[in-house]
Amino acid sequence: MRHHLYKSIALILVILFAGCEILGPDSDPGEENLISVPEGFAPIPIPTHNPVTPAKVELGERLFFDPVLSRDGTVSCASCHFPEVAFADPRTLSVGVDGKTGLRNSPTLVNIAYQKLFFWDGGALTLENQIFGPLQDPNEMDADLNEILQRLNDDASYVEGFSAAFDDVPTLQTLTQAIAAFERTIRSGGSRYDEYINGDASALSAQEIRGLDLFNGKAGCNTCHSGFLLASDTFENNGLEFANSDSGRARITQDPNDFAKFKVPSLRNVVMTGPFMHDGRLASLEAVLDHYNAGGTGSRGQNPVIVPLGLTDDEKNDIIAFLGALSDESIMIGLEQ
Amino acid sequence: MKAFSTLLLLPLFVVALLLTGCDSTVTGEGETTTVTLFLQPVFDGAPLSSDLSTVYDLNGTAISFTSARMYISEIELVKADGSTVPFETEPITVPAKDANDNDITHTVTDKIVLVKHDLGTHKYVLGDVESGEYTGVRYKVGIAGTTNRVDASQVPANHPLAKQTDRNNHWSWSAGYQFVRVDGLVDSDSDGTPDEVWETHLGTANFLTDVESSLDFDLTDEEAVDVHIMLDYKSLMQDVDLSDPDQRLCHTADNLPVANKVGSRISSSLMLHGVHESTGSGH
Ligand code: HEC
Ligand code: HEC
Repeated sequence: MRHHLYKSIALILVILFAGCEILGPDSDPGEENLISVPEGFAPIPIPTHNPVTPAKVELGERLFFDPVLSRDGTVSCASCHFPEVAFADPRTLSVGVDGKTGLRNSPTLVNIAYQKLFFWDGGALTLENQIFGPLQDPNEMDADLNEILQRLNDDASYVEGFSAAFDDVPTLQTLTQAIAAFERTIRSGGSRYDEYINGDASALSAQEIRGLDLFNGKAGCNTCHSGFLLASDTFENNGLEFANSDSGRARITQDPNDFAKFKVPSLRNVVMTGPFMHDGRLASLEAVLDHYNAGGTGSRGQNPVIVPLGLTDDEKNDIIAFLGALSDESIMIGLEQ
Repeated sequence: MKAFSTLLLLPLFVVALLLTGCDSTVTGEGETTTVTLFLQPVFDGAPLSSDLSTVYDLNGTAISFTSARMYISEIELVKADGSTVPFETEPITVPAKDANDNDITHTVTDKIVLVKHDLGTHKYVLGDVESGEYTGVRYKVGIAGTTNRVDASQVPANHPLAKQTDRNNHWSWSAGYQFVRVDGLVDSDSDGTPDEVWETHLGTANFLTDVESSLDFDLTDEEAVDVHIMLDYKSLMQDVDLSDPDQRLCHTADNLPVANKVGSRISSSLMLHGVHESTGSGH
């Protein structure tokens, strides 16, 4: 309820500001705020065909949380991307309509706008088009597109929302634009690690600083997890045992060199986003550190930089402590800034 | 100020309308010909019924169809001098990814046809061409290059590249459009009644197929013609044994053996039947 109160206040403020705006229709007063980012972050890339506006974001947020988009009205995007755990899923495998499960673990949607390709294998080319994945997947929302458009067009409040956001009725184009615009506002609010990087030496504890040094040094984690997202735009094989015939990136590219490669995930908020890896096979950060410390499993296609690290228990704990400092103080969502 | 300029524009607009009116009457008289693609679905030479319960015999196995769809693009008529005449339509500019997965915008002007035989639609108006002697027709089955990497969710709903709401014509992932989509039911227990699903969805650059048919035709003094092509679904599926459960589901990459069997038949299952005076309107 608190949640909604804040939202309403924010909305009223946005409306008030919008009312005062005299610069003309091109400059949207809300937009800048909706996609502002902490110091050290790159600006959020926004496609020119789908600018982020308050009306669109409000509509997209409603759609994201509304099970009306699933076949039987039981599953929403938020059923597998929980706001309270950085829009990830604490379950190993997410559960869709009729209790069905797929093969992969739901990744966080925080800072999703920075991703170049979507899904663990990069199979989806844009955030807008990605939405058809869960919408139509029989293990997820299993929606009939005609039917959900009909439902939205039959709902006067949705018709009003689409009209306010797009001056149009619900269509696949406006539906996907609204949800994607909302998703682009889900972003980090900065962590203690950011404060440290930005010059506040006291923001990290001594143990966390030791962990940071190991992460960038002896453990070599930054070979793959780098930049402000502690991720990379590439697909790598970090030496997990091959499972479920999931060949990862190779499924998309049909290139044997991509065998069992997966997108290098961002480590921001990682203490919240477990269980870990594309299929959620590792339950804890301890298990993750044990995996890397052992030098992977020597599986087919393992990246040669994954080698036994010789980390002591204390060193592993230092890295885990450092990963804890990557939690954002707040996660900014939609109109609640 | 605004009202004033609108008033000024009005007569100009009227003049422009008049001019375009004149234009089309001049060129309409025998100098151009409206070309319609008439793509007739057949099964072993006999018309394919749009009644989805019709049962066909595919090499001894009873099957039926629920989808019979195909993308045709880059359609060109070949002139006697060897040059080609493409067909264009209202351009759309949509987001896409380049070969390095960077975001770009891409403009499509090509007159693309999404054939929906399962809905009983056979005729597609392509546009007008100059009068003269022609020697053939060329086209691609499938969608080539960057056009296959557009964001289907952002294509305006009335365009053939738009994400269709009745059934999938596009994978939500980077494989892009389903160039050929045929599916239906197959008799799995030999009682003559199709009861189990089969699906063949073909796409990706490997299965983009060039089709070229030679035929001399004269478009002088023709107001409108149908380019009559027959698509024989029996011929398309003839190498697939749908009595074998392993051959029933193919979404290209997950079943390349079947994809190859169908892909290699595309060209020979399309036969240019003739170029005739138009028999009716398409859409
Ligand atoms: C049944 C659970 C489920 C539902 C419902 C669901 N998702 Fe997901 N989502 C997942 C899983 C699992 C993945 C990872 C799939 C993969 O990589 O193959 C994922 C991946 C994503 C990604 C890609 C993230 C990345 O880092 O590449 C985005 C974006 C996303 N989902 C948004 C949505 C939206 C928007 C909706 C609602 C329209 C939605 N999801 C509904 C489970 C779900
Ligand atoms: C060779 C590149 C590479 C290196 C080096 C690397 N990682 Fe990873 N990391 C990956 C990839 C790829 C994944 C996803 C793998 C998968 O899901 O199958 C991943 C996943 C993770 C995850 C799970 C995140 C999630 O949301 O599920 C954590 C945590 C992690 N790595 C931490 C580390 C740490 C700590 C180090 C250093 C000890 C490290 N990584 C070194 C490539 C690498």
